[in-house]
Amino acid sequence: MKQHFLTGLCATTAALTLSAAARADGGYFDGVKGAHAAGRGGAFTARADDVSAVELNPAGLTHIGTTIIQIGNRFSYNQRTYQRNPTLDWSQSGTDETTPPPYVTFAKVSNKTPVQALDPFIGVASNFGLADWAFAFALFSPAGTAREVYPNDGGQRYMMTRRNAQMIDWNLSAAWKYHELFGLGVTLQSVAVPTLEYGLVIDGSPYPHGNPVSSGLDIRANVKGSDLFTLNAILGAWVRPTPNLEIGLSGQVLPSEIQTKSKLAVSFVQPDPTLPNDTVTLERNNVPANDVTLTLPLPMTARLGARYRYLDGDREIFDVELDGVYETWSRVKDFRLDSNNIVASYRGQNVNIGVIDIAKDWRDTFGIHLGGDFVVVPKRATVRAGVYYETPVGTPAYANVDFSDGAQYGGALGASVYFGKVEVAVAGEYRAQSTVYVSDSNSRVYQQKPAGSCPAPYTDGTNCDPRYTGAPSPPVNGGTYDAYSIVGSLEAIYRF
Amino acid sequence: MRAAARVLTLASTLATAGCGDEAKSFAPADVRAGANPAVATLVDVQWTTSAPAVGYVGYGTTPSLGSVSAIERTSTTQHKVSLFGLTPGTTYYYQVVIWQGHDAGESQVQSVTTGAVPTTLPTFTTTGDTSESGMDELVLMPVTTTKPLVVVVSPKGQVLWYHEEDRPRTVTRARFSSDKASVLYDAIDAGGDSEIVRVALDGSSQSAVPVKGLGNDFVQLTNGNFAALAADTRDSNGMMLRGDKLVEVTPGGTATDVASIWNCFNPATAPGDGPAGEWTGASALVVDEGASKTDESDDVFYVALRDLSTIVRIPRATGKCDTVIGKTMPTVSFADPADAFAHPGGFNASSTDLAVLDADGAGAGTSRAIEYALDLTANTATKSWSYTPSPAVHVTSLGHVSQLTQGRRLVNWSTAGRLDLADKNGAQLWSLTGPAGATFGHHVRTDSLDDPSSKP
Repeated sequence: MKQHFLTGLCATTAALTLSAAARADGGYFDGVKGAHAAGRGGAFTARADDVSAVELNPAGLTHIGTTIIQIGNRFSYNQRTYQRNPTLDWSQSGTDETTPPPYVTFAKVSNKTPVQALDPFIGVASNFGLADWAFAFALFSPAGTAREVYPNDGGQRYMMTRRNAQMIDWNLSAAWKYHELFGLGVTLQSVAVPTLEYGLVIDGSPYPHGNPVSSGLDIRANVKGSDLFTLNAILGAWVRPTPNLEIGLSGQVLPSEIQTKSKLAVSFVQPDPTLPNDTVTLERNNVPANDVTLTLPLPMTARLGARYRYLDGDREIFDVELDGVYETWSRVKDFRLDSNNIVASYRGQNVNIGVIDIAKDWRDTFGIHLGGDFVVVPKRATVRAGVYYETPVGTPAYANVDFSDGAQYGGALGASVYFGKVEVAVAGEYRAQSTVYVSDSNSRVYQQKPAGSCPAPYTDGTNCDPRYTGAPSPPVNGGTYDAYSIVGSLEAIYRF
Repeated sequence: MRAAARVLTLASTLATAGCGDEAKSFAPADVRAGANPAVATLVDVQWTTSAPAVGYVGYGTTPSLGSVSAIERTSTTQHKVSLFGLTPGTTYYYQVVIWQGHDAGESQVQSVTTGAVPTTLPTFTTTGDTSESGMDELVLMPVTTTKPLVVVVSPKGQVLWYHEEDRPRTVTRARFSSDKASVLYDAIDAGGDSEIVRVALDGSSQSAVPVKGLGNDFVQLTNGNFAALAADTRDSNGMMLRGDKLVEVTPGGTATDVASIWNCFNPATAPGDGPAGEWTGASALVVDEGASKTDESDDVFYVALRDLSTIVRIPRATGKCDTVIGKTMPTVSFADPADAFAHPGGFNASSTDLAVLDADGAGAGTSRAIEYALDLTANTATKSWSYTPSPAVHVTSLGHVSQLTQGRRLVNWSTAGRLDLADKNGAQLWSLTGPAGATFGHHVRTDSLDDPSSKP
């Protein structure tokens, strides 16, 4: 027993140390669901022996070998901060530029809704008495930060003021194994987005000069909608060439995207009290209209994991698993809001909103997760740990407060305590983003200015602001981004 | 341990890879300032940037600053901005702000102490509230006390910029150069070694353009040349008389005659009333370069001839006086002969308007500023405004009248060493007086020294 403990401790220590050099995923999602998977830092593709396997590797459901009900919740504190770069407010310089533009600094802003208390996982799996089969149903929201709210007057407001993405994955899985040599599995997944809301401030000014700090024609734009069905599918497999080595492979294989039917709401940030009914009206073909579509592509994912099982007879004492995860986030070039030619009318102007692209230019990510379990007291207590690293999904030029763009790294600890048929599993995780910095010269997220007429390549001296040559409008995402999450998972698993 | 260190180093490298490893600071580098050795009211601030940038300097007598220079007009990596109009012997705080690409940056707030002004620098006193009067412009003019100087004076009488002419010269006119980097003034030498002097506003350089027989006024033309009044001395009935002519002088000093007053008048039939040996006494020059600044053929010159009590209009194309206003062989008559000017000094003229410093038209010992509406079709000049201070002021030469907004006029009582701001009703709003015995040359106005212009 002592030898087993020392071996496990050494392996866990090695995992913690080496995994700092490893890499893993990002984009819309942060981490994994399930206390077992979370406690191992996401290194669960090969093991995948609970209901969370429906997403991580449905073939792993055959490891369960009975009927289980798994209910849990993920609690998280998701802090995001952004410090916008100082700028010169050229709109405040004299027309002859004898009055220099003031140097303007911005207060650091942070997510005003960091606490995410309700993030449940509900699943059931059973082999229905079939020794080589397993079936599962699970309902959960993918791991991530659902809601972020920033000050309406903060330095980030031309990027985003609020985002609320409530997603629910409905999963139905089936798996089959051939003895203890290999197994196959599939999950059909319905991604439902009951609420997708995105808000930002746009500059309604039609004039060429930029308003990098504020504009008298600042308009608050908010789009809110839903998309209740997007089909996805996950295939999985495992193979156990020797009793001590198990390899898992899974993939989310459909190139799907979320496309919400949404409503657009717009209003002046500061209505002019001297003007009667100083509002923004929306219409299409002279008929009031505010319906728009917002499109967000989903990535395809490939997971490959290998784990070493240290056995005492048939009993597994500890394991160490190394996973690689590849996600095709390069599918996300932008978040596209298509107004289908809605015309906004305000203060004597009629502006075709057209298509608003929130530039992303995301990259595929690769992550490495290293983790393992150690059985402290057989059938009584298990501890687990894991670490991970994920390459940045975004290039700094397109950094935004809406999602964490930078490299992600983190570590997790977990434990399970067994009370007869009931297992209580907990996990704690710290996840952080490497600081992302982008200068205004290199930034590529520009103020949305639909009434402007500066044509590409944005060097027209008449219709473009010469202070921002090469840019359609002032860059608005320059600055420093930091993010971290503290995550706790608590689950109860009942094994029949 | 070594392996563990390598692992941690690698981990650290990977943890920060691709996360925006560009420079996070656009602060200007090597920021420094020094009191200008030539002008004690001037501080030069210098800095460098890693890439071409423009910048400006915030400054003030407290760390909270409060004033700003103009922003640089061209991008560069080596920067120098001069802060004008500082109080001598005073500590100033300053901070550099830059715009590099699309990025802004600023330096730390630093301090510098200005130098001491020369003891010969005159002091000015003012009356009248500058805020109520609206006197918010700076005045560039020659001032002669013990020696000639060129100064820029604030509405509160503060000397913001100065340059001493150490040679025995007469200085009657100063203007800002068209490139806004220098002050130009005439240094008239009784011995004929006259020149137009160019002094950089930042004191960094001085050069001169020799002009033979240089007179009391000059103008820098759009083409970079100078139009200047110059002596044209000829024999008249056996006596050498100094008349005047117009010359165009290149920056290299090559002079070309444009027109001569001798072509307009004959001293035998139109004698002047100047001192012996002088005939026309040209005192001031106004140039209208026409609609096209580059087409010189439509240039028109106006010259005030003090000793003939006349102002003439001379198109460059003919070189002849096609319009004569005043006492001698006039083509334009005054609606009221009592409004005629005598011994004109500085003036402003257009085809519809004439404002002139009238040294003697109001009677003996009384000078005035007077303005006329011109009708060059009917050839009449009708008084539209005048200002005669109380008590009376009398000037013997030069002087000037500037036409400001809202009907205000800035009157330069040259030999009396005083400037008055008068309203449209001829009431005094503000006044600036030099030390006893000081005389002023022709002035121009500007809104700032950061972006100076020579407003007449």
